[in-house]
Amino acid sequence: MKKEKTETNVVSRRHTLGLMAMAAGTAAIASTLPGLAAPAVRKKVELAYWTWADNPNHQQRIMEAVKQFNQSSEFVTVTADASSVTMEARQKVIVAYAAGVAPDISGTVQTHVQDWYNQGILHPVDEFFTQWDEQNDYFDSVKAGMRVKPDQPLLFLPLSVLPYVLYYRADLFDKAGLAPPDTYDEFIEAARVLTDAPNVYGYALRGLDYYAVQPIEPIHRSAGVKFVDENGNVDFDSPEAVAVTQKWVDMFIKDKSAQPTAINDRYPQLFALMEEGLAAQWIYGTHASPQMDAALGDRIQATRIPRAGDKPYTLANLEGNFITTSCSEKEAAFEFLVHMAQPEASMSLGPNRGQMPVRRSLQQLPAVQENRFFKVVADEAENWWNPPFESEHWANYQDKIAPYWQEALREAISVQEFHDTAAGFLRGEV
Amino acid sequence: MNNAVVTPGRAMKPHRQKIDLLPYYFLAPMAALLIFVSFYPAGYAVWLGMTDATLLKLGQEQFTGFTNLVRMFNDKIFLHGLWRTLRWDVAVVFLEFAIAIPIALFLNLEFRGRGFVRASILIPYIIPPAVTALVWVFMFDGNFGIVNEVLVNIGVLDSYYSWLSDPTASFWIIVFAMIWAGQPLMAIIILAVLQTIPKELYEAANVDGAGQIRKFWHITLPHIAPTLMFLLLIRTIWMSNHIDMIYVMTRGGPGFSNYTEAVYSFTLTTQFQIGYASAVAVALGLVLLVGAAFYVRHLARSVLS
Repeated sequence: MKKEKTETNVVSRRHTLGLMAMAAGTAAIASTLPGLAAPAVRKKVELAYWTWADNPNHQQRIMEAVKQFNQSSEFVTVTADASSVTMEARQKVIVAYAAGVAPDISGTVQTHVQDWYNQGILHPVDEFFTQWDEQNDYFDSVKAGMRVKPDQPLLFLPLSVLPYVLYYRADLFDKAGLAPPDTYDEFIEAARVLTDAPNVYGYALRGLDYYAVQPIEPIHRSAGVKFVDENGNVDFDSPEAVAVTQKWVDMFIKDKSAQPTAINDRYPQLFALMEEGLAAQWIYGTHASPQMDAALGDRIQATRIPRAGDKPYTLANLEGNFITTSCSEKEAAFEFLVHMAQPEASMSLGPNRGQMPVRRSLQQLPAVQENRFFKVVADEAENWWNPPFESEHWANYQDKIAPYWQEALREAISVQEFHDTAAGFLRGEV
Repeated sequence: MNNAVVTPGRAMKPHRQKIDLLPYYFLAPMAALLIFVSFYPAGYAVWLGMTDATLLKLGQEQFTGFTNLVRMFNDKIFLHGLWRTLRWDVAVVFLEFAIAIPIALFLNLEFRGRGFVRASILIPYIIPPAVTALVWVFMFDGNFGIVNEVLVNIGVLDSYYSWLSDPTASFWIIVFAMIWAGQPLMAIIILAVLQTIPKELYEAANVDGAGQIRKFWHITLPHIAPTLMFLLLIRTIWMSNHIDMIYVMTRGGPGFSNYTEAVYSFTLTTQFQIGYASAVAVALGLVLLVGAAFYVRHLARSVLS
């Protein structure tokens, strides 16, 4: 009995040493082949991934990226649902979380990240990201965006950034002998000069949903409006804020330099107006640029968003994925996040659909460098800006403001009343 | 001396009739189902309506009593919504009746291809409401819609009109879209009732020399009246709770101009305010319940009797 036991111990030590040697050798080989890194998760894991799709093309790109992950991963399988648009996808995740059936991973825009975190739905990626050997490929400004607030951990893993630009019909500007506007007043004036109703309107103005208000926010900021400052004070009802909005609304009401259908128009109508040459300018994200370019070629150009003060601001909203707190396999979830951030998926879901990559290595690629829309926003990198998403009541404002915007456009309320209401939402009063 | 006669115990206690539990056993599953799918959710909605519940802080709701009720009476969107709901109900239901009755009368006639026409009339009803809504939105699009194109080409309009940006126009467009989608069901139900009217009544009326209007007034209408009354009730309830056509076409806009109570409650839910959304929904439910109770009572007395 005793002898057998001794032999067992001897064999065990031998095996252990052998395994250690093998492991060391494997690690040495693996270190020279970065693509062959061993998966961190070594058990069968199934994850649910919910995100939004702007259109069928976007949906197809998501599904393709997920399929590639499932084919490449031996242990982790992801089931994707990308059947909603942005805001509805958020509602769906919140309702599912409340019902105890939230997905493991969700897509998000930076706008909502703080709200996810405040509500306890988002699990920070800090512990995984800081161990990831590709972390330095992310710009510092992107990492700051991942935290939302400086004193917070890294909350999500961005895939791309969606900057806003002023699209303009170069052919209409050339015909009128105008240069692209730089200041807000030049922009308003260009809209007025270019208008030849009902054939052409100077600006394609949006009336429906929160995204109608979003393009004006960087102009507000340029006029010195902070929305919510560092101390939590709301200035969105200040005279400066009202003045900017009043000029915007007057394009529709007084100048008639925005299309008369504006109150009920959203992306499809505005895109069609630009495509048909019925509108000359439009502030929107670069994700419309592939379709714009395909439809109009060189006739569509872009410049930065007009400034109301000395400094211009470019709205630049990060997009990416986060892990939910209810996910029981967070390490596996981060493996999926890393896959989506790899060049193939990242280029497919970012630059190939008109959004800028957030990784240094990808921004150097010719497809990014040679894109004239990306060039406009890359030149403005130091002016990239986001509204105070970290504000406690930002989501409250964003969720409720839309119908009041329509009320302002149809003069059922004044612009001052619109701002008073919006400021009330930002203060959490309503 | 007590002369009372002691009688056997059986005579002292009243006779207890044995209750037959078997019918209750049969009813129990259905009662349980009813409680589960109807009473419990309704009770839970009432409870939520008396809290500050939000989906963002589930499980942390505080009981607030009638705070939401007080808020409702100070909430212009809710108060105006009562009128908007009534306006929507009346417009849709009465116009549906006005269209469905003649269609049903027509479909009740003997003519070649009647079966095909009867089947094809259901097409608007079987199209998903969201699809119908989008088709109507595109038809009335202010920039590219076919309605503007036609009206400008025939000289009715000088230039394109922004239909859905106009509160009055948008209301009527949604109403007509709803009627287009909803009237086939009404017509088919009325047709079914028309087919139950004995032919002998019309034959006797013919012998008496009654015209089409007199026959409709004295034979057809009294026969279909109870069904019409019932349809009026359920259609009003359906329309009061209707969301999809209004929301898909205008999201309740422009502004709040098409915010019925149901749309308002739904919108509050999308803002995760389920406490207040439930309060609005419960208030709407109570209004409908009271209205329906009076209506059914009247129906029972005047029509069914």
